[in-house]
Amino acid sequence: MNHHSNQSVNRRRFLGQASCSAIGTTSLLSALVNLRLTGTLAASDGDDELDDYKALVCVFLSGGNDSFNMLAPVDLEVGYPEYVAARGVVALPAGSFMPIGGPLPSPDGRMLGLNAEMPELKNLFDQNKAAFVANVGTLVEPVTKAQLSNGLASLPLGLYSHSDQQLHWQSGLPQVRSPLNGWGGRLADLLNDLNGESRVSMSVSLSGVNLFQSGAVTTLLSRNADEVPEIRNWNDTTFLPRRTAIESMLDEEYHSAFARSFSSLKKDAIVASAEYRQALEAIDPLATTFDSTNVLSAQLKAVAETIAARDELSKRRQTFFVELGGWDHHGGLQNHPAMLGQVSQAVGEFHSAMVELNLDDKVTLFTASDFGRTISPNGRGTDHAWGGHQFVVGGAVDGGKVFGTYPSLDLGNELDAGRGRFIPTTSVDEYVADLALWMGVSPSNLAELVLPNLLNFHDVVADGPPLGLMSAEP
Amino acid sequence: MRLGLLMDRFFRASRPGLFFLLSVSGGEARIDFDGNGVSELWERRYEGVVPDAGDQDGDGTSNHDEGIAGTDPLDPESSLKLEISLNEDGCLLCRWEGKVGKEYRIERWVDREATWEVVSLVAPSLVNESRALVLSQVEPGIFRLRVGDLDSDGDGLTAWEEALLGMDDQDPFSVGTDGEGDFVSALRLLEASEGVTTTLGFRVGPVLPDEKMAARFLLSASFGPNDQSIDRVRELGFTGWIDEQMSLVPTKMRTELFRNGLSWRASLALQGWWRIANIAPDQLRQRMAYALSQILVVNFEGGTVVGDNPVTQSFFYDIFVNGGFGPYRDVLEQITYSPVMGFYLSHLKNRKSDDPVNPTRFPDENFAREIMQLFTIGLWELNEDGKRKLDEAGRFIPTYDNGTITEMAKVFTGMSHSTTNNGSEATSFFNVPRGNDYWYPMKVWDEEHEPGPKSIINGVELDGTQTGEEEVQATLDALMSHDSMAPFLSRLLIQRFTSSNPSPEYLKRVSRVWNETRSNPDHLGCVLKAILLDPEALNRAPTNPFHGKVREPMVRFTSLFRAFHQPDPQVTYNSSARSLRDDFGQYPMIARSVFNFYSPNFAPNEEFWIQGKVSPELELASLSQIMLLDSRFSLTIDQQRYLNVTIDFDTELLLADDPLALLDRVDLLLTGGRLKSTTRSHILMAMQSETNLLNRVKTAVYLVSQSTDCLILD
Repeated sequence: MNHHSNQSVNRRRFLGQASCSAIGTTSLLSALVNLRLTGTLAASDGDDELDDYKALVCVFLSGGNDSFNMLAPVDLEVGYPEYVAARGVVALPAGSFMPIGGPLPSPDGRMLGLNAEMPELKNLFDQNKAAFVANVGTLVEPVTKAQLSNGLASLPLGLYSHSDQQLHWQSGLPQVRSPLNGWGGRLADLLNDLNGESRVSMSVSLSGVNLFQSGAVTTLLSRNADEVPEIRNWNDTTFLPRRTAIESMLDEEYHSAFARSFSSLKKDAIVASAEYRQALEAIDPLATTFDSTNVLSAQLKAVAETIAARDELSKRRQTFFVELGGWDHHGGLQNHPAMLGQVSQAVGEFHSAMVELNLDDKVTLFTASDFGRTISPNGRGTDHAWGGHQFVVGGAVDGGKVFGTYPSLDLGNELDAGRGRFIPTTSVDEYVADLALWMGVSPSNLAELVLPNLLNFHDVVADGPPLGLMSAEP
Repeated sequence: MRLGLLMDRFFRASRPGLFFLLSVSGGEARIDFDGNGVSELWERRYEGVVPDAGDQDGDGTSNHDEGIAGTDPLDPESSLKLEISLNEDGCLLCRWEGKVGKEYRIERWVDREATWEVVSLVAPSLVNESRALVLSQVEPGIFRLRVGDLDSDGDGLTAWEEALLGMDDQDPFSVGTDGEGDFVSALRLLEASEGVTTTLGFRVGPVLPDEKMAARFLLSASFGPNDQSIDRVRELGFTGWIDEQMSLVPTKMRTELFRNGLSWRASLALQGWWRIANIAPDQLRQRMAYALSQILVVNFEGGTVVGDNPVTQSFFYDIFVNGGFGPYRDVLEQITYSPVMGFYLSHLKNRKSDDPVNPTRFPDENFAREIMQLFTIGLWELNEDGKRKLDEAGRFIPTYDNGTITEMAKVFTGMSHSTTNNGSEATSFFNVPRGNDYWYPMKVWDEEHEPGPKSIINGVELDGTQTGEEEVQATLDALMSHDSMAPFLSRLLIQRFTSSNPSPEYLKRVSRVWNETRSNPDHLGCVLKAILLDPEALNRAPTNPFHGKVREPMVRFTSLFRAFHQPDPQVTYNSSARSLRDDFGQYPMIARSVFNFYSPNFAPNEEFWIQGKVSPELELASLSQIMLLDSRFSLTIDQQRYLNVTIDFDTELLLADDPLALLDRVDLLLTGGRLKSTTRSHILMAMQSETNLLNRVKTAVYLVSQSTDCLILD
């Protein structure tokens, strides 16, 4: 931590300075804690819509999805020839894309196509239940190519690096290298009061402890996809002395911070696991089938079951984190289409399950990934870059559209930071702001506490949702 | 640092309003295994005197304070006493019994700032047995004489200890040969069979670890203590045991693969690891290999040309086994040239750009980035103690930018197989890889190596006249000479063995050895010795809540077998890497990404984060893994086996009707005797409720293994 004494810097610049980053996050943290203490956390003005159930599902494609082969220009006049020229050996044949209709973002008549391995997603898009957001990436403030080269812009730390960019997507604080919490966690801090009493967190991860769902006051629950396990023989009376001893040891006061942290994690895990298991036992099995060989399907199935048990878990707001790795395609994109297919299949199954639960407009799924990849290949595959495309699925989504700006793929254009690394035209903040507002975070809390850089792009209090991703509610 | 007025006697001076207090302050670094603040040298000299608040000689100074002051706790004439007189010029004359190597300060109380201000200081090098100091023109006030320890050269020994052992407190390597710091040299002297005669003429030693110290040390230095290894450490001392371990023939993974007639399976190497951890005699080397495998990460999971070939895998892992005590430069070079790393980070068959002027195809940047970010220097310019350097504007300084990466990517072009699958020399860059091509190092094929000058790391310019081979070597040299390397990698290694949050002083001691021994044939061996034999690792630190670390699940599991399994070379040592990985969140060589099982910077909660502390291993503590790990231990202990590797409780059964003795033994083997008394009473209660003796043993082993005291190393 580096303490800076200059009080006169305005808040925006203050957050923009890496060396002050820790203080920036601390102030967020204490603001949240204060709000909680003073009981002023209420997300909106207490209107009825907050009685609804809503959930946000983050599908993290770790490694950096080469989304320029997921969503590509396919019109044969301008777009596709540009695509082929830029992508070289990793370019797919025109027939590998399914043209998507709907109003397109580019005024130059380009037509976009979705990778043909993603029929479920295409279907959802056609039903206006899925939308794309083009060229989105981590930004502290809007950046031009000129600012990049003259070094005047405040940039995300560790551009093009996996570990950094994954954290930035999840923290919403790309100028901070070791943030304490993520925007999903801060969102949970604000919304958790809507939930009833329960030891099971509103933030459930199916892929380990993550930054996205770590809050200032709320903690996440991380479980495996196949089951919510309990300690062996925990409820077997023969082993009661063991259980008593374990519980007594966990209740001890420890001087070691390591011991204290672990004891509290394990205590919470024991209680939450019991409640979670009980809730899952109380619900009817889903009729929707999930492909058990697809690891993303398995995770989303567990999400769907947890959503089905929302009443048992006293939840009106939940977030979920699922993850599929293997997207770091330096050495070739041969299996990339199949992986896209895997995502599409799992998302399709999940959406069917939500329809089955009659919740498809209450649950919104969105993708995130470290970064887009270089538009130009390295000979076999592609390298780390910046902007990329994401998609959002759910009945509440203003679907059938591509939001943001799909860039020209011409190498060296005004967005090309070099080697076909595209400067994002939509920031992660703008992308996820729509989702957080839909969940019920008030515009002022959003700008102040959840996404402190948002004001660098968009005044959400004055102008509403930055992208308009979600349909206006009935 | 101990402040406060520990000796509350004061003397009224001849001038009104002038008071003197005496005070002692302990330093942090010293030979002080029990962490009571008093040097082991003093405690051994006055064997039988407990350095607590008691006052054996009744001279008004407690044993503890005499320990700090270096005075004789058995002689009422010897203690820190101050004689004060005023001479004819109005100057104050202070006189006391000085101890060579101690630092003395006359301090004045500044009421306005509520602090003590140093008026006069006598450095250890200037102290003789009777010390006098003249203070001129003293204003009335409250003064104190303060005695304390100093470690001027930061080598982990106090000046007093160094003076007693005939060492120099201005030189961290004043007696050691070839990169052993003075702390290790001091341990050698103390552990020598004849002991050591101090410069004051008394003899100390041999000071050898007791069984708890030995077992606690083996939690870090091996895959778990057992009766034999505890005995061996007690017999040889820490230094002797490490020497012996370093002289053992390496147990190579490639020779373990086909033991006992095992047939070819993709999982042989992952199983070989389990066998080695359980029974290999060269435990220290194997712990180091495992630590290196968590820094220079690749993945052995099946389904790829590497994942399906256990011999390929063992050739790679043996880089760590063979090189674990050698120069890091060698390990770095070997993994750079390894086709396994080349496959994982895609610099195998990395081609030059297609057009030097207007390229549309560029060199792959993957390895160029990760070799800097993860394998050598990290993201920031660092001082030797690990603190970040600052530029003129007070900002941190990145070690490289993306421009450096694209330039470095050009260096690592042209690398491909040197040898074909039938063992003959490869004829071209594009040789089709099949199977054992991956056994041998790659070579740099100049026809696919990017020509032209390159501006690489650390301001080094390659002028383009060298061959590809020469450029790769020059780049590795440039990385090796970067200031950040020693603190960056020393920290990662310390985190694997002893401490998640080494103090800047500890890190500096290790970094210094890293740099000092960089060209020695036993470079990493010296570094490892510095990590394990450091006061911060060996001394208990009961008052520091961030001391030590959380132990890795996998090492806690091997520890169970090291303690209670009878090694049997005839057993095949099966293991299911995937199921253990599911339960623990880790299994060697199958981390989820090049970023290993956990981040070296993971802060588990606000308390850690605010203090700037980390606990990498707690990143694994998800709800599932907490429950599954506990259940895995419970099942293994109750069934007395994991697959075909059995656990034997015969020795423990003999103690089972004496629960205290049984608990002592299990405590020793699994935690190094670190169970808190409250933990022991909870476990004893459960043990006593078991009348079946075998079940009592199992209950004891299970509960100790799942105790929070066992989870951490402190």
